[in-house]
Amino acid sequence: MKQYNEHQLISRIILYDDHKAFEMLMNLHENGIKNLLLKLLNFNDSELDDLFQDTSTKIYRSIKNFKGDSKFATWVYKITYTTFLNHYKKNHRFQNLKEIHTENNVSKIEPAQDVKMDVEKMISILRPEEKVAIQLSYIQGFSHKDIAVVLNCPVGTVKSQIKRGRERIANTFKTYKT
Amino acid sequence: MKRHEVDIQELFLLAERNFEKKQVPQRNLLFRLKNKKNLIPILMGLFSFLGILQLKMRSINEMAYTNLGLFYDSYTNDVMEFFSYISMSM
Repeated sequence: MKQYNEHQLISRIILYDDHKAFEMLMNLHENGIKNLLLKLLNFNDSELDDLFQDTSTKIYRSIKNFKGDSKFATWVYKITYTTFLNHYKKNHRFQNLKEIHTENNVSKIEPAQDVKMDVEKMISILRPEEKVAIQLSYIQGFSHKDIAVVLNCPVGTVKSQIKRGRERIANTFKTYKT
Repeated sequence: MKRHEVDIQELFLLAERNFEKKQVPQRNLLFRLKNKKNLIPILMGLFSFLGILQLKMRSINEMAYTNLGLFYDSYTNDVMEFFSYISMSM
């Protein structure tokens, strides 16, 4: 198939319901979406594929509603985050989201043998919105304004979430070293 | 970027995984023919195809000739009978 840019692929999906174009479009964002979902799921691989499938379906169904007010990537990550929140509410109905993410108390983290596991544990202590803000800011290179669209909150809140996340990790690191 | 920002970026980068699908390069028939290992099964396939085709053609021809022969035989018989009938009546 001919190489199309993102805008052309979106146009093809909307105009011709082109499945191949949608596949190509998702290939562009798959790595980023899956890495964000993996962090939100506290590196639990078992739910990753299902959640990614849900996200893709939602993107496909609502792509006709994409008006281009924001960047397509921003819109995609907004859907990803909303899908995660819905999935979490559905599967952990009796547990409060904030409780789950703060129950991994800082003092509970013990040095693991594998460095990657240590890193994953450190990231797991963050709240979902902090993970999204840090991931999109430092890895995807999003502006605070775009992250605010994804999280549906003011820009100031995004800044404080990044700061809080950073502090949380710094504190964990101090406890981890001692 | 400040030092602590670099640290947190490195931490998040360490947790990144590569989910990109490995693209298998599409090889054309010419490339496959250049590879001698691939040539044997291609030739074997070609010969078996031609063999089957030849058998099919032969059986079709045989069928056609047989039918034609039968038709010819029945036609000549009819003609002979007709002439014998005429000669007898005369």
